[in-house]
Amino acid sequence: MRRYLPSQKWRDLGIMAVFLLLMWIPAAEFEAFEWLHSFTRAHETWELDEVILLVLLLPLPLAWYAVRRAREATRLSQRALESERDLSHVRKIDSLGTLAGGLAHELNNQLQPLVGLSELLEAETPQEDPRRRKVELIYAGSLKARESVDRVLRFARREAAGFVVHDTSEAMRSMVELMRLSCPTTVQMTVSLADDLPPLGMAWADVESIAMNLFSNAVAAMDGSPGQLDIRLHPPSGPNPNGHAAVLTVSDTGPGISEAQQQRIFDPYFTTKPLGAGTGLGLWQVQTLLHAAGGRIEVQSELGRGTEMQVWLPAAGAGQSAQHVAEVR
Amino acid sequence: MAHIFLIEDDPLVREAFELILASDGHRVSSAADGASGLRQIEQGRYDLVITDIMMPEKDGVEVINALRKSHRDLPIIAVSGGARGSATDYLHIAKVLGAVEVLSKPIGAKELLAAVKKALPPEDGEQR
Repeated sequence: MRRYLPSQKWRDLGIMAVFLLLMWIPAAEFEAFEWLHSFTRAHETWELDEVILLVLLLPLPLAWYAVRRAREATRLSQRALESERDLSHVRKIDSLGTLAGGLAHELNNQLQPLVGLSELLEAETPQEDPRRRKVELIYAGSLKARESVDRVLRFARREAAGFVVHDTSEAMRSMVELMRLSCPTTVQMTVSLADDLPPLGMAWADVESIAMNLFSNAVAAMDGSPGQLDIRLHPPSGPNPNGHAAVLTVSDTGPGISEAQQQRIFDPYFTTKPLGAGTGLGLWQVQTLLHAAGGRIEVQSELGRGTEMQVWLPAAGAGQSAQHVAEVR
Repeated sequence: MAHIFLIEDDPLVREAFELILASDGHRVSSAADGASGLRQIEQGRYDLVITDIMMPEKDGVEVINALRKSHRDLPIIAVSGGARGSATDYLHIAKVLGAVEVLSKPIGAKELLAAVKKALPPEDGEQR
């Protein structure tokens, strides 16, 4: 955050002095004080003392209002700072994962001759050969190294979050079960998942993150009132020039999003939720993940009727260019 | 024994694979990238292709895609060293695209030879 420097303070005081001078010169020039005097004499019945008292007291509520606004601004900036810190932590972990993954890939390649050839050599060396034990130790050491690299890779891949998707509908089905469990009873949830979709060119953990974000936004939009939530996974209908594999549609019967808000919902830190309830990073993250993988998101919303989010998920295979591979190596 | 084509960009790994495969009596030809690998496969007759997944120029996924169109019956084994969010993923993609076996490096000699045996048709060594 920028600090308020002493030099800025003197500059601001200087600006205030110039303002005062600029206001005083026309006031003196147009004999404002004469006018004020004659005005007050002409309206003696106005209880001027009380008016002056009112004017003198005005700074007090103004000061109270200014303090309130300043506190709110501080809270907001603290919140933004925290979100930024969270985000930078996520990025740090993410880049650590990328680094570990890259290193593990290199090590796995370098271990290949060791693991493969020491095993071969061990098989080719007779038991009674005095060199046999040496070969056995090399082989055992290389296997241990392989295990260590595997552990690093598991961290990098966050294996628990799951990886890629060959049966999208099946993977989505188990996620939908999770959603059902966390769906409020006031909301009626319908699900339709098409089978036989082509494999996705995107890590499953990212697809999950996108789907969960849209689901929780839809639930939050209905805000405890009765409503309908539809989740559909279907092949793209109509023209599909980018060869997307599937479309995930999440629609709700919430209050909808105004056109002005639709312009901003993908901006980082933009949220319609009350202070502290939302980070304003959910849809930004959704869009970022989709852009990186070659997908896209579309929003259709009407005030008073609800919102429909359509996520176009990228296909695996042809879209996985050598350039992308180079990036993840 | 079979004539195997190996596509692998890392020279140490390539030679290690060649030695392991040769130890079981297989003939091995190789290329260091997908594009030249595909060109050489066009010109020869092979019983099996072993391809790395992550390579410069043309990656293993593209190689498998191309071979599935031009050599429908040629069995393919995909291998990968694995990088974040992609290794296992790409191996799954390779499997979906039609690789008969997918293996993560470093691969033991016995594991590789067993995968080769499994991938080859029962009439071992038959030229196609």
